[in-house]
Amino acid sequence: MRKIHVIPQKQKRNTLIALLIVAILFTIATIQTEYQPLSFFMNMENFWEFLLVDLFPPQLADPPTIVEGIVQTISMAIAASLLSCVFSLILAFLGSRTTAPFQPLCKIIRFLASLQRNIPSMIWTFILIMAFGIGSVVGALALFITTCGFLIRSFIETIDEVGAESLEALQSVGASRLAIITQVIIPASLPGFLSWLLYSLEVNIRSSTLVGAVGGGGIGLIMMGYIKQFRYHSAMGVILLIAAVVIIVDLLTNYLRKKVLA
Amino acid sequence: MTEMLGTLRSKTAPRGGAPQEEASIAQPGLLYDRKGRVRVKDPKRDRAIPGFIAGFLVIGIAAIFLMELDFTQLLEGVRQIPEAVSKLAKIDFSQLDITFNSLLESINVTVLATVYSLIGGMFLSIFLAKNLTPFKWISTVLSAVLTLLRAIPSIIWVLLVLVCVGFGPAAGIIGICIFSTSFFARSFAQCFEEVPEETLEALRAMGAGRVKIFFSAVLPSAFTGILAWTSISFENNFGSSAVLGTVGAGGIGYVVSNCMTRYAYGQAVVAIIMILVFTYIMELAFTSIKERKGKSK
Amino acid sequence: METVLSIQNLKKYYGATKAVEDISFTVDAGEVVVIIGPSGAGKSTVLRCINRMIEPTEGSILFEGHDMAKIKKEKDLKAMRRRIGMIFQSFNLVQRLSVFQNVLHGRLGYMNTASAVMGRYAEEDKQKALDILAMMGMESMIYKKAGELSGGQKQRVGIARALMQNPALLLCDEPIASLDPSSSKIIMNQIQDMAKKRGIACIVNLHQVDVALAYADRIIGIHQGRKVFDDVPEKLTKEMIETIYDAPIEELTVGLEEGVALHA
Repeated sequence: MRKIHVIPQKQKRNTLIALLIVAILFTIATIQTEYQPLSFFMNMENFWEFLLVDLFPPQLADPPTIVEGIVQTISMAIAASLLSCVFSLILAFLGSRTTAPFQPLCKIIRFLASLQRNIPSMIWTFILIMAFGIGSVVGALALFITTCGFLIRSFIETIDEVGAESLEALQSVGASRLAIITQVIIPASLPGFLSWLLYSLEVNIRSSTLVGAVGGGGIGLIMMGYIKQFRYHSAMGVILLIAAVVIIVDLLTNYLRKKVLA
Repeated sequence: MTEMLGTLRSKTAPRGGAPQEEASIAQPGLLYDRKGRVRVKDPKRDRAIPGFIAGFLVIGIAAIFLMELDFTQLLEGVRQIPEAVSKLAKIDFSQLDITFNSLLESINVTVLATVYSLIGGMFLSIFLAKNLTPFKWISTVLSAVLTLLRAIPSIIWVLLVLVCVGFGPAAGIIGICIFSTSFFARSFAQCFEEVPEETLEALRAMGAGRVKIFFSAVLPSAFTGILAWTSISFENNFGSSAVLGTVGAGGIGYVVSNCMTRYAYGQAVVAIIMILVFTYIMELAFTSIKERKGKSK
Repeated sequence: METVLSIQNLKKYYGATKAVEDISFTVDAGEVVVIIGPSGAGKSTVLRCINRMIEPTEGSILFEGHDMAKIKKEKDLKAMRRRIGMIFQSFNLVQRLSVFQNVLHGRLGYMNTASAVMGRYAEEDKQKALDILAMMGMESMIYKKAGELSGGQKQRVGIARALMQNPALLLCDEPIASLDPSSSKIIMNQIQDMAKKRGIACIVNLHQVDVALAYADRIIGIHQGRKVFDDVPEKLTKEMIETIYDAPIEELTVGLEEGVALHA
């Protein structure tokens, strides 16, 4: 008797192939890194000791410096989000197929964005330190560059999505390109733009700490200093503070998304 | 064409008079602006977005000043850019084999971290999703714990784990896993919660158990979402594992930071280009998978 | 009656696929021409070739003394397009803007660039928009956002936007495909009204034969990109419907019975 297939054979085969590839990669990686997943759990007492003796209780060693560092880090994230948003908006309108004045520009802008995005922000920090030296300038620039890369792509996608819907109607009315942009595309994609802006803020709050740690200044540099000096109680205090800031920002952006952009 | 338009206009609508006149014959239900013109939108109905933009601008500009940006340093740096670029342009392939091995190590760390956290996240998400969890309080407690884990960036986790387990790929894998598991659990739970309650109800009515419902209905309908989140997480994890080295763990990041401190910029560039090429290929691969998935539906 | 649109030998090929093959017809002022045919027959393509949203491969499209197919400059094309209104299946409104703004969009083609970009509409245009909205029974919703309206109301905004253009020709692409029966009736009545009262030539794409029979002055049947029928509704035989839809009449009768009800 012939077997009756519930799932199409091709789909089943593709899923199998995908699983097989993952399994092979997993095996190769395990062999090469000699990683034993259970070893961590076997040595748990080591971890608990570190956690309970070295990290807890957390301390805030030097409140004025830490507050200053936190303010600088948050400012860096917000400023980078705002500036890159403005910059990306302009480039997105030049880079979207729906709004671009000439098509070759689209490809150039997309390539630029992909270059900016695909190098992690901490690596950008290293590159920028060569020219700018250590300090908040480097941190802000590194965030600005990666955020731009990511916002340009997201904004272009938003414009194209919105464009497909209402563009046809306005073209058939005989409206000029510029009028279509200001009267249709901008109002229609505004919530999308702002939602991406909030997302970029969430990402930047996290990465501004990291960028700081490798030379971008702010709270990240302070934390890194404590770790290098083995002052784990103080480091833990700073880490929990960073976590608190991240959670507060996430709650705030979620609230704004629900209330304002719904 | 314009003449015709003119006659049409004069036929269908009287020419607009002076603003004062318009205001004096104001129609009920219409809104007028200060000059007596009819408003095309009700400003009360969308105050939220302009308010939000204004607020963000104020905070953003304040942030630019609070950041204590050193403008002399900025200008000085801009002047240094050509020199920096010329240093970077001297590409040096002498360490190619070490660099390539480091890239492989970063990829290995990414693969392992993603697979382990995928399994862990899937398991946790069943208890986290409000429509699947056996007890509501588990979901609440778990949600709080995972939020805390996710609030600390993966690099900081790596730093902490590094202290316990010492150098080597294990620190990277575990550190990234902690963050990534929490990320997966949260995203998958969201996917599961989007499965309509009616579907679950229908299956429950047929007497299907929890496990059966999960594998026959919830997992297949959330599959596209799971795939999307996996690709995002894989990209993020590679980003993290590529920069691990800059804080002292291994991988390609170590090559970059090591070359930079030795002023061997040409070698650093090779490493950076490798990162770029790999992330770009990854992006292309995931896009093509997504597109093919989209077509088959 | 004055002929508004005259299409001769219209063809549209996508590589080797022939989407539209050699279609010719004319439309008079005040006439409602309904194009019927199964999905994918090329109805939408014909409609979009008329205002060049899709570039035709061959043929002439004579509208108000100009051949649309031969217009080269974008500026000239825009000038012609503003005399052709278009109504869409998915309404294509900007959901976040007010009803009033959406209707006024119909004037954008006539305004100079600066005021169009700034969205500064003339008071007489606003008055005209208010008149049209009042005529459609929408005067209480002018400041509502388009996204808050029901499907039928959205399509009325779509019609109002097209009327703001002072069109000589109205292209309706499946105007009632996303609407419930009672809203469909209102919308079709309004389209018919516009045609008769304002002398606008209307081309309506439909896939419901019953609605076509009730509202059309003339029906054009398209099958696989070719015109197979072009006459008054009374002459549309069952055999012809079967040819157009490539299916036995029994499979199409669910809609036809309702069509009888519409006639009565």
